[in-house]
Amino acid sequence: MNPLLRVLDLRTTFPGTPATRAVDGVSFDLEAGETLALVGESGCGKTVTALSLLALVDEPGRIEPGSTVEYDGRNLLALGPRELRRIRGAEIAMVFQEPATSLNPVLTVETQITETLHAHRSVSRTAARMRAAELLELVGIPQAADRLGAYPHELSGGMQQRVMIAIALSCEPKILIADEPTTALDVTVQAQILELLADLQDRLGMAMLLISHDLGVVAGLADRVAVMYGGQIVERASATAIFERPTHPYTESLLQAVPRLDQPVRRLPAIPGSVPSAAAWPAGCRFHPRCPHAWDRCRTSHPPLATTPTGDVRCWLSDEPQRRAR
Amino acid sequence: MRRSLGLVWRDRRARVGLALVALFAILAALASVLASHDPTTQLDLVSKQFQPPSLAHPFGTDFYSRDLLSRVLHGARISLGIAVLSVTVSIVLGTAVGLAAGLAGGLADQVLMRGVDSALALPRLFLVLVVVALWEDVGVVGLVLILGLTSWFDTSRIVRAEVLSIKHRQFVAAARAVGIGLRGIVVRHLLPNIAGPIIVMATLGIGQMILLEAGLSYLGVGVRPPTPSWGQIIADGQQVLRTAPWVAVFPGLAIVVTVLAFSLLGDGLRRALDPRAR
Repeated sequence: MNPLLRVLDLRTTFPGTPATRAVDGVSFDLEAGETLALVGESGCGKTVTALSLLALVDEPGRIEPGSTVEYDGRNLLALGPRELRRIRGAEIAMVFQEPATSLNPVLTVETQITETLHAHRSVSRTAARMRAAELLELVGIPQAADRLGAYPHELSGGMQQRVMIAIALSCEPKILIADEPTTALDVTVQAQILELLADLQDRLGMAMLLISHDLGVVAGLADRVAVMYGGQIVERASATAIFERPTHPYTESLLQAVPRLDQPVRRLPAIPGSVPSAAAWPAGCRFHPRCPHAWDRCRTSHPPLATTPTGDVRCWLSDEPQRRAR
Repeated sequence: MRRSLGLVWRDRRARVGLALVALFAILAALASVLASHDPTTQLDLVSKQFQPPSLAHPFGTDFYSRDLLSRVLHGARISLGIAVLSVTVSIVLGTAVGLAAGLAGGLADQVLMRGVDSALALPRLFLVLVVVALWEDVGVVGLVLILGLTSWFDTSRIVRAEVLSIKHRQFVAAARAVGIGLRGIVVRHLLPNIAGPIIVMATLGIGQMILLEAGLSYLGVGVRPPTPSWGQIIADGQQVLRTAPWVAVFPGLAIVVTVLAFSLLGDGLRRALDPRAR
């Protein structure tokens, strides 16, 4: 059985001297109905990966020719604009990070939902209106029918994100890409939106690519986790494996930086330094300048994504575990 | 749409503007019924020349003893008609060119905008005068075209700038991500978001067009006498401003009130169409 979505060697660059290699050889599979989380700090290439899947990278950025995003037996990156439009929204939909700027300020909620319906299905105005109300109810907006005429600024952030989700789900896509769906929201609202996403995914049986920098968000939802660093996947495993036995030093540091209820309050360890610029990735392992275990090999030679019993990891430690600094 | 119209009505200034614009439109439309005299008939060159305003002639009469109220009413038809139509031509053309340049970018954008820059470098009145001079007997339709075709340049610049700022907004990306095509993006996402500046330009444009047409008619290259336009009548009155001020004052007032009415209406429309400004 082929996976629902297969991403192979995705590379997206932005021109410049030197060019910015924002996504640099990312591959992953997404199975029907599962949730794959893409995790990493800002600047590691998560969002550009998401946009690249739907060929939405704006000029002057470009997806390199060797990249493939295979869906339903077709390479999406090779499709013409017409065919792409038929996939976007209908088969694969996306929810963006900031609901406040993702909604058109001068259109009513109804117009924005029915617009997507009309783009993909031949439905009458009345039917579209009814479907819009139904969708608002589905995403948990009270008095849905009354909210159809509302403008985005009349809704709270959480309600706006619910509307965005309603738009994304309007044509019952097989895959939902959620790019930091809760980052711009209050913590309590975050929990509600995450619960909603999990519930909708169950009910509609869709696959989800959840992009987040927040491991707490990922923990409750993901079946599998892919950790990104420097435009590449550095570790990929089941969610349980990642949280219980992280292998890559970067994943370990990320997990240590999450506050925990079952441990006494202490100062959270931070990862020293910051994500290097995508225009100048360090030689060797891209994480080595910030890695506590790094030795000569890491500085000169770039590790491949190696398969281990629990998952895949891009680290020389999987070759030489005795090098682990204690 | 109905909601927007309701909001225009709720705004006091917009209501005044709308009422005045409607009033002038009705007066212009019914000019032939309302006017007591034919606007070009010379009543009596000897006894009726330069009559000050009276009950018989509320706006007075001019050098040719024509009834000025009738001339101003018929002039409304010409002046308003030319202004509204030429602004329509100019806004449609300017918006189209601005959208094309802003969306296409690259070479097409450069070519279009450098062309617009060159055109903007010429004074508008001069440009219009050259075209009029090359065109024998312009006529009203010709005048509409000339005015419309020479005044869309700044509109296209403003529309292009707005398109450039809006096309990279997140909601456009979000719309593309759910499969909305170029037409949908333009019609539902770009145009409604730039409607405000376009409406402001249109209403200000109407005022400017009335003045430009008045200027051309004043210079004798616009509407040909004896057809009355407001500019034409003011030109008649200019020579006798000291002795018979009413000839120029009434069409002048008409221009001022009309321009003001369109400005009020435009401002109200802009606010009504922008849900954030409520």
